[in-house]
Amino acid sequence: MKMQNRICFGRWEAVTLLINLICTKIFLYFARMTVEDAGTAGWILTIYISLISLILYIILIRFLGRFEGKDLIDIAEFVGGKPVKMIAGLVVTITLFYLAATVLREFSEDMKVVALPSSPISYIMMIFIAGIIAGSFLGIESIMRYHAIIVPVIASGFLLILLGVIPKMDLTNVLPILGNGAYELFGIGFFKVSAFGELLILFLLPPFLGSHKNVKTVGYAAIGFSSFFLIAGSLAYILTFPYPSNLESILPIYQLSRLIYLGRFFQRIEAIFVFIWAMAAFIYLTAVFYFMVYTFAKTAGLKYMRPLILPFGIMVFSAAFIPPNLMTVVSMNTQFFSKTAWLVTFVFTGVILIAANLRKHAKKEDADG
Amino acid sequence: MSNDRGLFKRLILFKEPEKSEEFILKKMDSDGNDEKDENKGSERMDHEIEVKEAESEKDPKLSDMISNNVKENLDHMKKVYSIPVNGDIFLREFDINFRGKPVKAFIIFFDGMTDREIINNYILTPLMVMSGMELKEEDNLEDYIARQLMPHCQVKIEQGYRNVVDEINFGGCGLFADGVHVAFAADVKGWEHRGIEKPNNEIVIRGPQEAFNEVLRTNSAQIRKRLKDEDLIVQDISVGKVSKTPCSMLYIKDIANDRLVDEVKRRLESVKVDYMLDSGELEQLIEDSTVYPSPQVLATERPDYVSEMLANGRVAIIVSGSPNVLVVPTTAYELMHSGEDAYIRYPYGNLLRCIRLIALFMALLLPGIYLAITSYHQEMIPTDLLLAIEASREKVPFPSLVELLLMELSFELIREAGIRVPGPIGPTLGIIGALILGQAAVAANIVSPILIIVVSVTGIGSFAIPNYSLGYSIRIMRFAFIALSALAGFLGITAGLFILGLWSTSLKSFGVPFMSPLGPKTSDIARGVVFKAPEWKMEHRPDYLNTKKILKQEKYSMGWKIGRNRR
Repeated sequence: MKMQNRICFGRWEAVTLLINLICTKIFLYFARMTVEDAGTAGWILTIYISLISLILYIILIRFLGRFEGKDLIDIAEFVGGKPVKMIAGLVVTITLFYLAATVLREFSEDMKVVALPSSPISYIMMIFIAGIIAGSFLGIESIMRYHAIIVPVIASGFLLILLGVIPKMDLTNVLPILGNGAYELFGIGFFKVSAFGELLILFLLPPFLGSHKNVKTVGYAAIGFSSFFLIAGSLAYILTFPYPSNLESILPIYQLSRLIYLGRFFQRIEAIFVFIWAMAAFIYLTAVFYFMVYTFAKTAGLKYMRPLILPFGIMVFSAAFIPPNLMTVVSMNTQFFSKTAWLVTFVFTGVILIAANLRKHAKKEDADG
Repeated sequence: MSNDRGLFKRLILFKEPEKSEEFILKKMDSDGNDEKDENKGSERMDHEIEVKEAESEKDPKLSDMISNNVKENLDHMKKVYSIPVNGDIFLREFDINFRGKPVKAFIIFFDGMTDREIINNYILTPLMVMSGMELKEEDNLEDYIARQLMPHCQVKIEQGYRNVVDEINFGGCGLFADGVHVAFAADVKGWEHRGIEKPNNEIVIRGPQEAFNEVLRTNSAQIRKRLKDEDLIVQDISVGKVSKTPCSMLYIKDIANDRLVDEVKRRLESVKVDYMLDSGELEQLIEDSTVYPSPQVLATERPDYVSEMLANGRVAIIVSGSPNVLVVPTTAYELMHSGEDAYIRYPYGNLLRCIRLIALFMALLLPGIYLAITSYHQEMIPTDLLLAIEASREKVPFPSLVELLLMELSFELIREAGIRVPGPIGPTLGIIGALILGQAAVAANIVSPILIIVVSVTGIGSFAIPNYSLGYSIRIMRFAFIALSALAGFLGITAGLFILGLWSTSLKSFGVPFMSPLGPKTSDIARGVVFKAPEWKMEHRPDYLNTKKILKQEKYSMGWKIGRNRR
């Protein structure tokens, strides 16, 4: 373990951060969304988008290789100076702001449904936002280290739930094997690569990770682990419930945990689910919120980001109230974000990286002669 | 109130942070060298000189040099020690026979702190009786006294009052003679003290049964007799302007990271207090975060445990007058270790560590979880258990929160009273406690029997935590979790665990992340930091200590297993 004066963290911390960022949606809508899009072939859709995201990542990481230790904002500045830096920074900030606000609302609404039916939504959101603000004040180092400790616990809890429902699984539920059809699966399904939209944060990590090799390894490991959890989650969900029921569940994994029956006494395992689910929500929201404020501070060239935490916290809290109800938030995520996030994560990032490489190449040619 | 305002201001307004460099324990190079910050060193030296100058100006009497006129010295020492107001300081005047002429002299020492036998037999008798014998011709009285008249092993010759007074204050005997511009300080310490006894708080079944006591040198000797290594350094530092409490910093020169040693020394030297009487005070003055509930310095009364940690590359601090030795740096997991862990086989050690971990979570969370389930998440309780809980709570008029706080506060009250109560009436308190907490409260329908079980199990859990200070922090945090649980059930508890976890990971103990080796992850997980590994597999010192020597045993430590030929 090498510790240096500037903030620097290990690969494992970064991998766990990205796993949580990508996989938290499994606790929310992901499994149901795959069924909505591809029918009983939702698990194949997950494999497909995992492969697509891996291919896109391989392409992007090649372009990033020439900018060791630089994040997306630095590279944007290299491409076109302050204006491009501002554009890139604002795109990332707005994307993360959208994610923070909608996921905050969705988690709070779901928590109300599952565990706190009598509490007002504002009260539940206030608890979440207080945790997020406190966490952000403690800084990136503690957020990353906490991920390294808690993500394996959350992952184990999630896998235990999946193991617990094995007796309820029925192989015939995956039939027809291609679900809604090949076009739905491989054509329209392509856009669902947005499930890996949170990989965007990987392009903000290079200054903290040191060498390019580290960034590369972190990306591969994060995509690998996340794919495993997403595939396992959607497959278990599809195998357990018949197709019509699969379309109706608001919280797929919660529904799975409710089925676990380990004898007469241990029949309410969903209590464990509430803990791991709420913890995943806290760390997801804190990480997204922190990187949002960090990106904004970096874009604006601010020396300190701490003074921004409270105002941004209030803004996210306020924005989370805009959707009128849970169903609106769910459709915002499943119908809008999950179809468009790839444009930011892969296309926008790709354009900046390609432009930066071209500029670097041009500069080199100028220098050579 | 002003503190609250300050906190509120800090939250709302932004103040540019002061420029300060945080200490991080870095790796040393292969030779064990590290670059030194020359400027820093010189700054520190300047600061020390300034402090010394300031002290000199403030107290001109002690900064003076010793006069060769014994009358002046006598008056000086009388003023310094407020003689005759001070009752326990003894000043004895006598004559030394030098070349047939009597030379006026006096000795000065504290009664009770010195050994009278040594003073009579090895200081006064030679000076008063043997000086007439003139065993060997000497020109100079100073040499005559030093070489022939003081047959004592530890005598220092001092030129200034400051050093002599320091020696006398710490059980020495000062000798002043006419015509000599130096004083002799003999180490004749001999105060009453406790012997080496069994540990009171860190009791083990397997392992040594010796504990530290209040005597600095006895304590350092207890470690030295276990670590027979010439590289074990016992570096003396005094802390406290008035109390000048002698402290010793122990480390193994060729194992401990030099940066760590320098940092501990820097922190000890920078402590500016008048009095420091116990290691508990010192701990609070050198720890990284004073607000965080858990200790970040390990205090132990077991010399074998300290020896083991020194051998792993840590630094220990012994404070004279304290039976608890401080060890730095420490991590959250090490606070859950016991001295016994090293002496028992690894399956037993892991069983104990698992039990302690369960105990920790029970002590911290059980009342909160009970409250959350009974107040918010009744549907999560298995039906049979729900019926049992409801039946037991049927006649209780209070809400669960009041019921729980009532019992927890009673329990804390009994625990505190149990420590403060005079010995003979201790058993009475136990009976009252058992009656209040148990039978009477239930019979009066104030609390439900199931809550008695919850509070009792929580109490037992807190007793299983091996570190005393950590036990306190768990008690405090338990109330925080009860409050959070009352506010939002499981969500509140999760929020509490989240903030506590982040707070813990943001902490450092002497440059080492407090949650190492899990957050940040290092390669120590399999090396016995979290769970105990088999003895033969514990080849490495903890990675996060960045020690000069990484290996602490051979790869094949069980040489007999390799076979004679291959060996």
